[in-house]
Amino acid sequence: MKVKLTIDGLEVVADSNQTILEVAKKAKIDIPTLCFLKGINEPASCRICVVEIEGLKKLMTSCTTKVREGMVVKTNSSRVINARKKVMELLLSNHNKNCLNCPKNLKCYFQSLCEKFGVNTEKYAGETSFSLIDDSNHAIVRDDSKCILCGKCISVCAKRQGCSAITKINRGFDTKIGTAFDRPLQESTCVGCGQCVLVCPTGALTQKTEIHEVLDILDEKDIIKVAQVAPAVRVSIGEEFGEPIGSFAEGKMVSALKAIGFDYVFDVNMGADFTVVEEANELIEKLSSGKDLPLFTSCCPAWFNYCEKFYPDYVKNLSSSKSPNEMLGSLVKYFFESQGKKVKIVSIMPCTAKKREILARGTIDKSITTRELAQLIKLKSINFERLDDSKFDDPFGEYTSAGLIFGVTGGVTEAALRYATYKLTGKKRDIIEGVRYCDGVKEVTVDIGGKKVNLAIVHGLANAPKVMDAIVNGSKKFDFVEVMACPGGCVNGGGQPFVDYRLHEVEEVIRKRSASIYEADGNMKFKSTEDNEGVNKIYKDILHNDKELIHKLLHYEHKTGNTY
Amino acid sequence: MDLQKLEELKKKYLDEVNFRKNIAGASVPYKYDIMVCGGTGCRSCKSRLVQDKLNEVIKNKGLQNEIAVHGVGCFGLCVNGPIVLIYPQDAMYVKVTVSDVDEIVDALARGELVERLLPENDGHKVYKKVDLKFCKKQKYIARNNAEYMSLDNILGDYIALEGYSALYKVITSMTQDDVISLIKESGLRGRGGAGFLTGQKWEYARLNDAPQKYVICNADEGDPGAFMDRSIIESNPHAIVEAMAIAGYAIGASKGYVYLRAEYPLAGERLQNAIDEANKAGLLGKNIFGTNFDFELEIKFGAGAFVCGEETALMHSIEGMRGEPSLKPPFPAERGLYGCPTIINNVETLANVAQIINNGASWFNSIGTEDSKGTKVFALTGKIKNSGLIELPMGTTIREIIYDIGGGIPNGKEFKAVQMGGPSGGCIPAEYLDTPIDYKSLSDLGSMMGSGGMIVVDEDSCMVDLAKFFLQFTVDESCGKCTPCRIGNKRILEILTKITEGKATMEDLDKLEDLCKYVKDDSLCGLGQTSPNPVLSTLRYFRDEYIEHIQQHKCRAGVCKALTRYKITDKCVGCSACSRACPVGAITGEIKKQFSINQEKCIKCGKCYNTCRFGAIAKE
Repeated sequence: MKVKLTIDGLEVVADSNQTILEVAKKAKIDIPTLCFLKGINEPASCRICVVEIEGLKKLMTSCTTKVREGMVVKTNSSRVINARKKVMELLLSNHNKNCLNCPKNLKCYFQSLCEKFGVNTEKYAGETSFSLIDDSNHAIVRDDSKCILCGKCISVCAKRQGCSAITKINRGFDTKIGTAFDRPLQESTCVGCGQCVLVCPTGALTQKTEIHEVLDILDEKDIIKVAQVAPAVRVSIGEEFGEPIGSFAEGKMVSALKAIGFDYVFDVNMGADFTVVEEANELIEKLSSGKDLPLFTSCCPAWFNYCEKFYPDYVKNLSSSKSPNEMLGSLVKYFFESQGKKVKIVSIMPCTAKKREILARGTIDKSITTRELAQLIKLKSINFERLDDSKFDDPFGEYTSAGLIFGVTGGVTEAALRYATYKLTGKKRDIIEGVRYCDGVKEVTVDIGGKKVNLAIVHGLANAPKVMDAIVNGSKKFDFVEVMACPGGCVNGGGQPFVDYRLHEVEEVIRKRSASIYEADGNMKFKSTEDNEGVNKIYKDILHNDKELIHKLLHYEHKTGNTY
Repeated sequence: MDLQKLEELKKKYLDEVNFRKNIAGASVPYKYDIMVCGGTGCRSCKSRLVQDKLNEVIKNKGLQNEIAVHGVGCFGLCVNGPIVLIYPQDAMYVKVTVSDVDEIVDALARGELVERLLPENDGHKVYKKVDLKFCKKQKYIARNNAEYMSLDNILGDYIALEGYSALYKVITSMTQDDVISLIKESGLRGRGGAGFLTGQKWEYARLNDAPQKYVICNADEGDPGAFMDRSIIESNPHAIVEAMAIAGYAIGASKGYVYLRAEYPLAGERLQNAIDEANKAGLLGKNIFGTNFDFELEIKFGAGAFVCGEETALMHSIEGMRGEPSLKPPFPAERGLYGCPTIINNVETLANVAQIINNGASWFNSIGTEDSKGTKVFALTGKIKNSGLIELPMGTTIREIIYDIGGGIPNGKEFKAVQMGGPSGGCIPAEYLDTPIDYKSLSDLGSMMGSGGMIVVDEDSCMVDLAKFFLQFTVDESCGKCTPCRIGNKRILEILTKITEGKATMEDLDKLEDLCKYVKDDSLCGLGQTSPNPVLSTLRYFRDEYIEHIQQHKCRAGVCKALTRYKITDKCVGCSACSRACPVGAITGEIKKQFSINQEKCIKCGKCYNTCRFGAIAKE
C-alpha cells in the first residue's frame, strides 16, 4: 500500500511496509545508524537512529518503525539531535578513545559520528568495563575496549557465516562479545573469514596488520622478492583511492607493487589456471571411479576450516589440489630455487583466512589483504591515481579468464566446466550463465559429453549446511560442490576495502565487483585454461610433465585433525 | 472428567471446607482442624517441624479422631510466622514454635485456645482471625480461599470451592468471543506492571489467526520485596492452571508455559504437582470435558535474570536464547513465542479469571475505582509493623494500608515515604497518604502500580540512598542490550554515589536529572524506561535532601557513611563499652572520663552508637 508522509518538511510517497530509515535514505536524508544491518541485525538497540514523530510521546527508532499515512517525521529536531548526542556521549564514556593508535583511525564510522555531533568525550566519564585484547587468531584481532555492542559481528557470524563463534556474554554494563566459555578466538568455531571485520563500526574488530613484516622482506638483500595477487584484488583496490566500487585497476595495481619494490609481480590467476587443470583432472578421475564423491573445492581457506570444524567426516572429499595462491607459490619457489636463487613471496589476497593457509602450507612468506596493500601504497607515498598501467611478469603472468573468475562465486565451477568439457569432448565452452550470481545455494545439473554432472554452488557459510546436511543424510547426490565462505565469493572477502554499508548494501557491492570481473572475462580472448600457453609451457618446460613432481608441488596431503 | 465427576468430587470434599468455614451441617471425622502454613515464609521459620510435631503429639495422645492436621497456603501475615490456623474456631496462632505444640494440642483437646499465641489488636488478644485489623479491610479475589484449602488435598479442596467449574462453563457453554467480552467487560487489567487490559490482550491474540498459539503465565517475579505471585502459586496452583486453560480456550491456544523463576522451588514443586493432578484428572490434556479442546501446560524455569520478567525477554528465554528484550511492535499477541501469537499474563491477573467467569463481570467491576477494577495484592515491607501480603479493593488509600492494615511504623518513628512498584516505581511522600490507589493515581504521582511492592521508609532512611539502592539493582539487572540502559543507568548510579559521598556539585544534579529523563525516554524496554523512576520521584519530592548532601555534605538520616561523623558527647560516663566494641580501635580514653573517636580511623560502622547505653554517642 502506498502512503504519503512528511520527513523534515519533505513530502514523500512510500510503501507502507518500508521503515522510516529506508524512506529517508531514498529521500537523501541521512540518519545515522550503528547497530542496523538490513535483514541481518535489526535490534534497535543502539538508539542513534531515533526520530521524532508528531503525536508520539517517545522518540522512535527509524530502523524499525514502519511509515504510516500522514506521518510527520523530524529527523533533525533539537530533541533528536540531543538524544543522538547522548547516545554518542554514553558510548564514548565506555570507549577506548586512543584513536590515534587505532587501526581504524579515520576509517571509523563511530569516530566520524563523534566529529559530526561535536560530542563532549568526557561528559559522562566513569568506570569502564573490563576489557581485553584477543589476538590469538591468525588474522582477526578483537579489542573489547572499543566495542559498542552493536551486535553486527554476532549476527553476521551466525546468520551469514553460520559459525556462531561469538555472542554476547555477561550482562548489563559488563556485557561483552566473547566466544563460548570466553576462550580465545582461535579456540572457537571462528574460521577467520573476516566478515565481522567488514561490518564493525569501530576498531573493536580489526585484522592483523603485517605490512611492517613485508617492509622488512623488501629491505632484505640478495633475495628475489615476489608479489602475487589474487583475482579479486584488482576490482577493489581502486576503491581505496577514490575510485567507484568495482573499478578494474589491474594495471595500476601491478605498477604500484613494482613501485613498492617487488622484483616480480605474478598473477594468482595463473595459479588458478593450474588449479583448474588439477581439480578438473581430479573430478574426471573421481567421476570415473565414483569414490569420495562429491568433490569439494578446497581453494577457500575459510570453507576448508569450516569443513574441518563442522563436517570433519568430509575432509577427505576436499580436493587435494592446492589453492591457486599455493600452487603459484610452489611453482614460483621451485622455479627460482631450482636456479639456485633465494626467493620470498608475499601474496596479496582479498582474504583474512589466507593468513592461516600460508602458515599451514609453509610456502608463501606473507599474505596481506587488499586493505593492507592500500596501506602499503600510502606508506610508500605512491600516487596510485597517477600510475600508468603495467603488465604482470613472465613466466607467471599469463592467464585466461578462467583463472580470473575464481574471484567470484561460481567461478571455480565455471572454469572447471570449461576445461573439463574441452578435455572430455574437445569442444569449447564459453560463458556459462547458469552458474553465475548465486543466491546462497545454486544446484545445477550440466551435461559434459553426454554425462550428467550434479553441481552445487554455495556461498555464505550459513548456506553450507543446506547442501552438507542433504549430503550427510543422503537426500541429495552431488558430484561437485563449490563453496565460497564469503557471500559473493572473494570479491566480498574479509580482506577487501571497507564499504559504508549504510550507503551501499552488500548485495550491491558484490554485484558491482562481480560485474567488473565478468566484464573482463567477456573481453578476454582466451576463456579456458587449455588455451593458456604459459600453463602448458610450464607443465612441459619447467615441470617436464613429471607426475611425481607435479603432485608434490600442486597437491597437498590430507592430514587428520585440524590443519587450521 | 465430565460434569458428573466434577460434581462428585465437589461433594466428596465439600464437608471438609465447609467445616473450616464453620458452615452448619458439615460432617467430618474430627472435631478440630489445625492448619499449619506451608508457604515459603513460614517454612523458612520451621513451620514444617511444627506440623510434624503436631502429628506426632496427636498420635501419641491418641487424638487422631479428634484433631486433624493439614498444611495450608499463605495467609499473608508473614512477619508473624509460622502461622497456625485453628478451625472451626477460626482462630490464628502466630510465631508458633515446636515447643508450643504440646500446649496447643492439650488446649484444643479441651476445646480451648492458647491465649498467648493469639495475635493482638492494640494490645488486645484477637480470638477470630477475621477480627484482626490486618484482615478487616482486605478483600480476597486473587488469594481467595487459600486459608481453607489443605495443601494435602489441593485439587479436591479446590474443586469443592467451585474450582474448575469456570473452565467447564467456558468450554461447554461459551464461545471464545463470549469469554473475551466477559473479561473485557470486567475491566481486569494486568497485575504485573503496565496494567494493560487483559481482555483486549486476549482479543488481539484471538484475532491473529495462526495454527499454533501460546498462553504464557509470567511467574518470574523479580521486584525486590514482592512475593504475591509466589504465594498464589504455592497456595492455590490450580487457580493458575484453570485460568491458563480458560485463556487457551479463549484465544485458541493448545499449549501453555508457566515461566517460573528458579528461586521458587516450592512453588515449582506445587505447580508441577497441580499440573500432574490436572492431567491425570483430565482437566488438562486432550479432549478436556469431552470436548475437542486440548490444552497442555509446561513449567519453564528462569535462570535468575530480572529482565526475563519483560515479556519479550521471557519468550526469548523460553526459546533458549539470551534473555534480552526485543522491540515492540510486533507485540506478542501478534508474533510471540516461536513467532506465534502469544498472550502473557501475570500470576495475579490469572488468579482473578476463574472467579470473573463464575461471578460475572459486573460483580468484578463493581469492586474498585473507575479506572481500576477489582482488588490488588500488595507486598507490604520495610519499616512497617505488619509486613506481609495484603489484598485490597482498588481505591484503598495509602494511609489505610499503612496505618490500619500495616499497623503503622514501628519504634515510634515518623513515616517518610513509601516506594511503590519496586525498582520501576517511585516514592510517594507523606502528603499523598490519602491518595486512593489505582493505576492512574500512582502514575500521576510519578510512581506506578508495578507488581504491587510497597516498601515503607521512615525518618531513618536517606532518600538519595534509597534511589541509589534501586539503581544498583537495575544496573545489576540490565541485560546490556541498549545503550541508554546499559551505560546510562551506570552513569546515573555513579552520580548518585558521588552525591552520597559528598563529592558532587550542583552541576551533577542537573546532569543526573537530564540523564534520568533521557534513559526513561530512549530505552528499548520497560526496564530501562522505568529504571530512573526512583531517582526522578525522590528528586521530585525530596530534592532538598539531594541539595543537603551536595551543598552541606549532610545526610539528615545519617545513612550515607561518608557524610556521617560519630562523636562522643559529654553524656559519656567513661564505661569503655564503645571502645571495646569498636572493631578498628578508633575509640580511646580513660575510664570514667569522656572517651573520644579518632575520625581518621573510624570506619563509621555504627557499632559504638548501638553499644552505648547512655546515648552519649551522636551521629552528625
